[in-house]
Amino acid sequence: MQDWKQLEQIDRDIRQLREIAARLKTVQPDFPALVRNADRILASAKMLELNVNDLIDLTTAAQPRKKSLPPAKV
Amino acid sequence: MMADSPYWNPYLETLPRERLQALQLAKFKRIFQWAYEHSRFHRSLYDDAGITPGDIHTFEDIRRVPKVEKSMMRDIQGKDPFPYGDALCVPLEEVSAFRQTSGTTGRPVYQPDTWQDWEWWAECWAYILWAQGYRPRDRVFIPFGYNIFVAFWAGHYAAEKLGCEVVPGGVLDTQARILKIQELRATAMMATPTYVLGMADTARSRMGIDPADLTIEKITCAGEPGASIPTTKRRMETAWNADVYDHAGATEIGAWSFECRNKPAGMHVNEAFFLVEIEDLQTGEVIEKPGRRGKMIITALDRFAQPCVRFDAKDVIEWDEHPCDCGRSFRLIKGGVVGRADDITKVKGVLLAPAAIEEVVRGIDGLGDEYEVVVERPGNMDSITLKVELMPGAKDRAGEIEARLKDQLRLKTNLGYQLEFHEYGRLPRYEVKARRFKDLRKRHG
Repeated sequence: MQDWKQLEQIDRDIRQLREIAARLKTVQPDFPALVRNADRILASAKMLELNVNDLIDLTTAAQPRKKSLPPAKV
Repeated sequence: MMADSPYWNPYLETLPRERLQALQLAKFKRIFQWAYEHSRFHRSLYDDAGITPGDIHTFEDIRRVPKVEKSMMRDIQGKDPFPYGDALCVPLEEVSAFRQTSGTTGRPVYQPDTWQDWEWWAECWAYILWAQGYRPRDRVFIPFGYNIFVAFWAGHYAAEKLGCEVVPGGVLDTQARILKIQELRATAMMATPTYVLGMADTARSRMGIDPADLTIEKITCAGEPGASIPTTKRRMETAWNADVYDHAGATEIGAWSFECRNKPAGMHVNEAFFLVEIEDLQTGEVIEKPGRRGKMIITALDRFAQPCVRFDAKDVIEWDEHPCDCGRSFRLIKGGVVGRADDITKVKGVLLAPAAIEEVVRGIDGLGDEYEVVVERPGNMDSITLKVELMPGAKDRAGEIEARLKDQLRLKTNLGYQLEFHEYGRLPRYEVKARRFKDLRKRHG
């Protein structure tokens, strides 16, 4: 049931999703429908981070594999 | 197939303990740093204690972090930014939801959440509902007055997230709610144990409906410890012919624990999202091993608008020595939340947890679900009165019931009681949190 190798790809995809949503949020600040919906996507992306990215970044006692994502501000 | 997975997150929920603890430690550092950098209240608290984010390396270091009491959260309300005060870590315009505590123990505490925090609430609940067998095919009825109290709000959002169909039973009265469950053939429900029993009583006594004949298959309880009290759980499960599961959460904390489908006589702590510590009630010494009760100190590891870092929740719990057969590595607390540090009190020199009385009353056939306990001190001695209701048709067994009640109370609580038997329906009924334990000794000076 568990596929850690695939999880690493999911981890990368979520980071990309977050980057895209963050960019959409700021690209046209006077476009409320874009800003607010991108904001909601970022909140959902955060839940994916808690479920996947944190699992990969933070579950080893040693130094994290890469810098963990900061707490998103929504 | 998604619906076949027993876990909402098959990786996190079965993570080896060592990795789970590494996750908790890393997350604690993150939320501590966040609070330190964004909340004037927290920074001042930590500066006064001489501790900064760079000082946290181990769980021992975490124990040096000052605890936050509910009274402290009350005190900061009224400071800027209004109405939350200076524990708020985000600009006010990012707050999208207001809730407040029920005020059971004093002035209510306000709780701000951003949309992200609200997603997080629902995510915590998604772990609970999935573990209790909620699936997209379920039609979930929520008989709760949607209002300023968090209660089942996040359960509603989580059920939607799972793909369930949610029926909000908001302003309907109890009879209308029962009819709606019947009409829509709802398969699941969320309510306090008091209300689950109250609904069953209303269905039987006023509507001629046996709730066991309705289509409810599972019930999630919260707000009171009843679903972890075996006799109360049995009454609810028998009344509704449904599986009843417990869950504990709080407005300032989040939805931190749940009973899984294995019904292990306890609840899992969602240790991927929360760090739970247990302290001795008298000495404050950390309790790491099973077998000793203490009060819970809890950190919500991923809640950011108004962080919950080492919150003194006053819930009394103990670790279970046995892991659950469900495969989760999240530890169990034995018997759920067994009481509140505020409620566990000495009567006639004996420590008394009100839940123990409930367990006895609801274990005796012929007694109604309702009861009331009154502790007084008319002179120099404590006096404890237990009021119960005799079920219709049980009057001819009153002597036998009284003897059994006395025996069981003595056995389970080591105390003698003055017993009052009332006619069925005479004691107060409650819709949300019941107040059945009344300690009037302070009034007597």
